[in-house]
Amino acid sequence: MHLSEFFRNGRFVITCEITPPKGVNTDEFLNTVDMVKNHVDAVNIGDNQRAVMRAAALAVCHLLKQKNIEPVMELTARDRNRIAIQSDLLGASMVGIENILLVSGYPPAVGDHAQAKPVYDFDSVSLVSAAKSLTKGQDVTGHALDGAPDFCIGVVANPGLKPAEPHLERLKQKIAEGAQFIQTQTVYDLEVLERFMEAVSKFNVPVMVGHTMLRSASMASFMNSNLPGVCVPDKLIRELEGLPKQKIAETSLQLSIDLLRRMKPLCQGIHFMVAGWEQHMPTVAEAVAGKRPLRP
Amino acid sequence: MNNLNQADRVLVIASARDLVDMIKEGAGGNLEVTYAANQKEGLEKARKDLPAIIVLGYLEPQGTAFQLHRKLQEGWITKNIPLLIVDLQSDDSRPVLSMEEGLQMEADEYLALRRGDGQVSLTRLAEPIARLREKLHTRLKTTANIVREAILDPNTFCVTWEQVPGRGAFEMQQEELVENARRAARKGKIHAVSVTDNPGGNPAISTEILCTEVRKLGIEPLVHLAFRDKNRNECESILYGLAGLGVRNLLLLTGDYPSSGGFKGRSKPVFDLDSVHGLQLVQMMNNGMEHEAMGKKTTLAPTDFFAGTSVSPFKQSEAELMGQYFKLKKKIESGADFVITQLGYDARKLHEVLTWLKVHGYSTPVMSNIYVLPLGAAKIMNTNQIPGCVVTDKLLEEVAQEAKAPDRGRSARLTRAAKMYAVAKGMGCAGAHIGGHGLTYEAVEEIIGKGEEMAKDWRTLVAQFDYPQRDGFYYFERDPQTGLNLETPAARPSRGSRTPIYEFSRLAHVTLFNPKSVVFKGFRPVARRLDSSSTLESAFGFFEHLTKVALFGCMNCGDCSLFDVAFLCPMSQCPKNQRNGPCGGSYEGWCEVHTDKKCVWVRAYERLKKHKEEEEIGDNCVPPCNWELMGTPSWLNFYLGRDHSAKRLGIQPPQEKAKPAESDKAKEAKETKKAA
Ligand code: SF4
Repeated sequence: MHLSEFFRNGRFVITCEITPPKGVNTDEFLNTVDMVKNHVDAVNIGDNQRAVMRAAALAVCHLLKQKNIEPVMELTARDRNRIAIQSDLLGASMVGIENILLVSGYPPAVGDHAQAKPVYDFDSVSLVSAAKSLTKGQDVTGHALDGAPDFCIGVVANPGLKPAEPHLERLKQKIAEGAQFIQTQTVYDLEVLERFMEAVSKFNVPVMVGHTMLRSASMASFMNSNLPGVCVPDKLIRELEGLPKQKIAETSLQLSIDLLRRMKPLCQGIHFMVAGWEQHMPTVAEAVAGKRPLRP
Repeated sequence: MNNLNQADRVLVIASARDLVDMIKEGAGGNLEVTYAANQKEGLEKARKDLPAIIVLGYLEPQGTAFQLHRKLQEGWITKNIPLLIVDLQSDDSRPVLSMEEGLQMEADEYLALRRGDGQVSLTRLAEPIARLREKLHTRLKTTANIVREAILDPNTFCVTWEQVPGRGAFEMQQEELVENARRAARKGKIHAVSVTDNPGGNPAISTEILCTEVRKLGIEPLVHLAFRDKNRNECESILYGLAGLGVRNLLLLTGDYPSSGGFKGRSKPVFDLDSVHGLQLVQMMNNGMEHEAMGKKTTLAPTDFFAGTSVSPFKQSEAELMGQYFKLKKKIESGADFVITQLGYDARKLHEVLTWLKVHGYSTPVMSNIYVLPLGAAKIMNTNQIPGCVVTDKLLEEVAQEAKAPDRGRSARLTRAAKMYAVAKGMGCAGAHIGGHGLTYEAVEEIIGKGEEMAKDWRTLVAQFDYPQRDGFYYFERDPQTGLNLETPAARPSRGSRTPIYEFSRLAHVTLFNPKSVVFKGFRPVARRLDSSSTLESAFGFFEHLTKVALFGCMNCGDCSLFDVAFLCPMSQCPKNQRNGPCGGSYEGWCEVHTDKKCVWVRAYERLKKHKEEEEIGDNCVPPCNWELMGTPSWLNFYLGRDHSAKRLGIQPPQEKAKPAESDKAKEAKETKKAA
């Protein structure tokens, strides 16, 4: 089901990113999916996310589809040229994948195959226009397709990025090309989100605010020094600093809940990126958005 | 005693050594920096050396640092060691953690230090080094045991708050206890929350488990460990568990006698160890206990306990009080890091402990017990229903007056506690151990606040804590100027008492159990003969037992302690089996448990005093009974060098029996002779 349907029905949409296996054993992956599946509208499957090589998102999404779980398939331009991109999109549609998230992708250097050749034949804007063109029954060079896919296209945005203007400009282009929803990078500052929402209000596209629970003070410091646009305020870090380990989860979840409760009225959904803390995601989601009724 | 060195070691694990140089440069002289170049070596050193902090840098190949970080965080041995990940970033370096790894990091601290390419000179790294130093020092502070620091630091007055757990798993008492600890942790005004161990000899929820919970709330627990209910193995086992979970502060106590409220009746009193033994056990563990496993000697990693014990100066008679101080001497010699006084309201008595320590050249810190006294408790204590807690008639009367106030005496009793706080602080105590039924955190803060205010005028308050017991004995002469003590010991008027059994036993002892005597030398071969045949041995044992039952009420423990307690058997005559001095529970000389009998240690004192030998009580730390000898004839055990008295006197087991060991020793002796 298209995510845009949910938005149209006025639903506060929740997605959670789950990392595909590195290898072919799916046990742990499926276990993790089980933890969150009743608390989300869809599960995001990364495409060799953060440039770490893993099982193909397409195959993993197919697996979820078979289990009647709605996937959002991420597709990056880092590892494919325009031929591969279009062909993967057609393949995805064939196995029933409807929601896609199109991103340019972190460069190989941040991941575990630093020597890999970055492709970037397309950028994030041309990615969107390619997908849109497929849905209209044409490939990017104008050849007709025998049967067109039907996609709900998502893109990403980074509200904390500075300077904001060039970034917003690109976002505008992506939407002009046909993007239908936005999932943002994680934001810890209500004001940053307010400013962003104001800037994108004219686009009239639903926004899901990205959220990563703070696993430790050190992880927060790491994000501050390594993730562009992410800024965990010192106040939050100090809340976690020096806490006995057993207390961190409890405190951190409360911080997430407080923050997201204040963000909820501003946006249309939450996108959880919780690398390894999936077990805590339901607690936060439920506290913020209430128990999820069965999918409409 | 204070093994602080361990806190100063930093282990650096990184493929390149540059971090080591930076830390050495930045840390100043007091940090010892060790280095490991790869994962395997890093894990080994972390587990063996137990450093105060681990600093993890880039490790080849990429991904190793993250793996190791997981192992260190999850490992039983290393989980409590703070882990600092340092990313020395430059344009050509690889990050310590990939982005994905970074998001899953659970280290205590992450520090990204930017340096330009090719910057090797340390002087150009001054800023990152300064940040690193700051981080290390804040981390060291978090691992330091603040209770130890507060008690040992003469400029800090340590405050602990006593909590009493109750029976039951889900009771309001437990709820309140945890809530109190939570508030105390949040407010940060007190150093530790202490939890009593089966208080009053009643079963209660486990103090060890509550204390690990208290620690999770972010405040140091002080675990009371009473030897009433646990034998030596159980104590050791609990201590390992506590050490492993990072609980370090202990209060070792004999414990009240089991109450009659146990499951289907009174519980079996254990008292396998006394507090002197407990302190010795902890000391041994702190030094790295040696033991034999499968024929191989191994040394266990040292623990880091800070262990205190109690002393009861509020004793009425000379014999009781002297017994307390003899035992205190042994406790200090066995490694007591601090002492807490028993409950009492007589300032001169508190001062007596401080003076006693000073006069005897000990620097052991003293915590004063401050119990907020409501009328109900005062009545119970006045009639001596809580062993060792002294409330005199005069004090009871005052409390009864106060209770007539509209607030039913609340402000008066908090003020009394605050005044005690002031007196204790002024007098030179290291801290206050505050307790009281239903005491709220706010009340504790009030006591601290008012107490601190009044502390400078403490001398004027002393007169308000003048509660001598009827004919109460004081160790020192009274100082008429201060109302406290001079450093001159008072006369000890007791003349002792002479009992025929004791006099006879003394005589027998000198002739029969003196390794230098003719009788001893003559009887030793006979003892060996008796020992070699089980029939002879049991016949002899039967005879010995009969004699000793008749004379001393012997329990046939085989590790006879009659010599240590002036021929009073601590196994049968002392309900708490105290081998090193009296417990704190006696009342005007009468035993806490058998209130119609004199405390054995009072009797022992009197017997020895007659011969001017009473000081001997404080001389030897008597080990706990060796249960291996249970039921065997103790005379043979003595003659054949097997029991603790024989060992103390240097009586060796006969040679044939332990041939290989002996011949080894002989060889060694020869060799040393040669060398000489
Ligand atoms: S005999 Fe003395 S030491 Fe033993 S239990 Fe009684 S009072 Fe305590």
